[in-house]
Amino acid sequence: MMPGGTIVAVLCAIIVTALPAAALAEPGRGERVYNAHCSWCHGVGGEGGEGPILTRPRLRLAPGDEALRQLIRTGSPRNGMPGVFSINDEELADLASYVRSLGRAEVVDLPGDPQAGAAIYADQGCDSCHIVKGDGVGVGPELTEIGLRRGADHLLRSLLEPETHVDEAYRVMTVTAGDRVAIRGLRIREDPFSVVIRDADNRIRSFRTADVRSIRRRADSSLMPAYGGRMSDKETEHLVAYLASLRGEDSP
Amino acid sequence: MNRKLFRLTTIGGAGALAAAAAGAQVTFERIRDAASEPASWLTHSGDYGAQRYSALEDITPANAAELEVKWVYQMRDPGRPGFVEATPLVDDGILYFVEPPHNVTALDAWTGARIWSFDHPLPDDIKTIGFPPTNRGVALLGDKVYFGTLDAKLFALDAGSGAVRWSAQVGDNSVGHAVTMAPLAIDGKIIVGISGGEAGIRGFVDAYDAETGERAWRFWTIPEPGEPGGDTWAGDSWKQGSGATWLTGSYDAELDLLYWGVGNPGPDWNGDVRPGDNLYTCSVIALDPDTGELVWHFQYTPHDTHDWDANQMQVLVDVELDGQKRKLLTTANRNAFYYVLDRTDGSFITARPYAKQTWADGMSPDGRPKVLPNTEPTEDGNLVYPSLQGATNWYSPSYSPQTELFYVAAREMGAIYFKSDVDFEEGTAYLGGGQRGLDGDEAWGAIRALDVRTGEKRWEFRLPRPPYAGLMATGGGVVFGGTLEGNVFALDAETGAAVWDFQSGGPVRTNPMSFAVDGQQRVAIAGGNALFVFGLAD
Repeated sequence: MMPGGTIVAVLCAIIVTALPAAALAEPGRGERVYNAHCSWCHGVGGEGGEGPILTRPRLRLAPGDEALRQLIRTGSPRNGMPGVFSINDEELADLASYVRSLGRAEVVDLPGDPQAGAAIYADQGCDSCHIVKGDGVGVGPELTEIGLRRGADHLLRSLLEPETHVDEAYRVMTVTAGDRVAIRGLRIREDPFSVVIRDADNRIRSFRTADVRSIRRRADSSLMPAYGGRMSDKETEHLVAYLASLRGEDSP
Repeated sequence: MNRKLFRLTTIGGAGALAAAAAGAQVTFERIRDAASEPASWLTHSGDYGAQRYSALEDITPANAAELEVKWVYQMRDPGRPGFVEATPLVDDGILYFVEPPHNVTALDAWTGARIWSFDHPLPDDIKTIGFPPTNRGVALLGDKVYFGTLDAKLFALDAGSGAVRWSAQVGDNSVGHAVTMAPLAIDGKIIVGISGGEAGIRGFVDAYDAETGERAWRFWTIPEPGEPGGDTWAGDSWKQGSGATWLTGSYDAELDLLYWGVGNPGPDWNGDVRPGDNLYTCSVIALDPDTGELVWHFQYTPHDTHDWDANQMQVLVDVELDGQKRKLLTTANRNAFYYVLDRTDGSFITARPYAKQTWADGMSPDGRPKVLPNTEPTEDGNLVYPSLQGATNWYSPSYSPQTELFYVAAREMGAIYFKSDVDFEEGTAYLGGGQRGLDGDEAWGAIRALDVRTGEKRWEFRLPRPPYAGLMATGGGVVFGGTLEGNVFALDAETGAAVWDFQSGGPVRTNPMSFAVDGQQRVAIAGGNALFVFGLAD
């Protein structure tokens, strides 16, 4: 597969040949179109709201730029997203570029050694809860592209104090059903009549709300242990450098 | 009322035979007296008072658990843009529905089989500024089906075949106009409002001759300088004053008054360019249906800067208040207050928050909100409750004359409101800011039952996420609703206890309605890309 950067470059080249140069990349237009059509649900600056946060390197429904433009045009009624067809192709291109610009962590020089960090990742058994490039177990967030999504500060904090900022997608719930056994896991979905969690053994458990005795939601709880005392500062540095190097198809 | 009585008037019964002799005819009198004909659903909210109440009583809290799917209709083009938000209408065994973005389909109400469709092509250069491509339903009158389109046309179709009888150009889509609402059919006229409140249009309500499609009158919701209310706008700001009218109004046939909710002022979040109260935005207006003249108005949110429009149902309720029979207009406004007005003259009776709000310290005796300081959008952002989607929105509340409760799907969510500079350019978004909704753990919702006289909460049914679907109360003592997570549910109208639920597999963002076939009650509501019809086991 082509690295992501090349795909973007190729697409830009196509647009350059297809459109008059004057219509291209009008400064600020992408943001203006975004504010008119998208910010209602996705929030100013893509910070989220009714719709998902867009400050991510890879959008679930729009893995590539063409898919993103298509998604903006047609929407995703299943996910409650309307199509935006009242903009022209130039505006669409600017809008897509703007949305893409919201989500990428920059490549920065870090003190640690990514290769040493990879060994520490294996030693600490991180793969018992995380997947990198297909290997591991998917209890916690997949880390294949974590370096695109998160800067070093965030990665460090997640390692040392995972409970200080838990992504809403990984909210911990404890559900006690009729048999009085409390099941702790990550919230997968919740509606007034059912709740689905994934427990620490990566097993999906579904409950009818009517059968549930209690549900405890913890915004300050994580299934991930704090690794503060388990590694030296140097080791931590290496691990952060390794995680930051995980940039999916952009990875070195 | 007993079930036998309904059998006589239901589809396939004696009433239908009489109607069949003259061809299907939805007379003005039938719509006016819709409460006596619960087997049909002849107008958007079920009746002119926008109560969205069905007198059918087959389904009760005791037997609702036995509800089952009777049929499902799949939208023909699930790949098209837009949401399924229409309320079906039912007359004489036929269900009339609008598939997104604006295609009318007639179905056999007994089986769900498709009878005819009318597809209106979507122009390539169509504009929908500030709202999703959608359509909220049709109107019926005589032998015709009326509906609006995203390119701002009004169509009259032949109810039997779907053929076009006439069409009228209501507005100009190039400036942002669209018709997304279900038209309102009254005696000889079709009343239509306009969308485009985020494009700096000048809003209006139109009346068209039901037979010919000729425009009978137009009421501009933004007065010109020199007209009453014209002095509530500075300079030329009235020209882009917005005041869209994008939701079906209500009608009191006895008083012969139309009631219409008016939308937000433009630009939405930067009020600096339009100092003043900005009449008649965020107001309810009472119009003379013969002339379109304004009889009275009441402004819920003067000089709004949060997009808290008044495009919610204006629900007409007749109850005793302090020992006197009163004609009330009640509404759960987007600004988080529930209002009670006297609908004969628009005078304010009471208001009370029905969801969290942080912008007003109650109301003055005349109903003007006492706005708190530091609640305006700012360049750095300002946290205010409710969010711009409001404590509720266009989807319908319901009023049950049986319980005298007003049921509303409430959204508990705040937003950080931003203000920015804005220039007006025709046919583009005219906003002057934005919001960042406080979603996630902090946002939730509830179905609430309010005392119709005071707005006092009687019960609530909590939802983990803010809802976007309407409600319908029934004579059987049940309230139907839905969630964005795909649930369709029934609650006990007296207690709020859940008595039935069904996972439809797609977001529910429309209103439930009810009808009967061969004496059996049905409940219809869309979820995702399908229309579901439920009934009790035979």
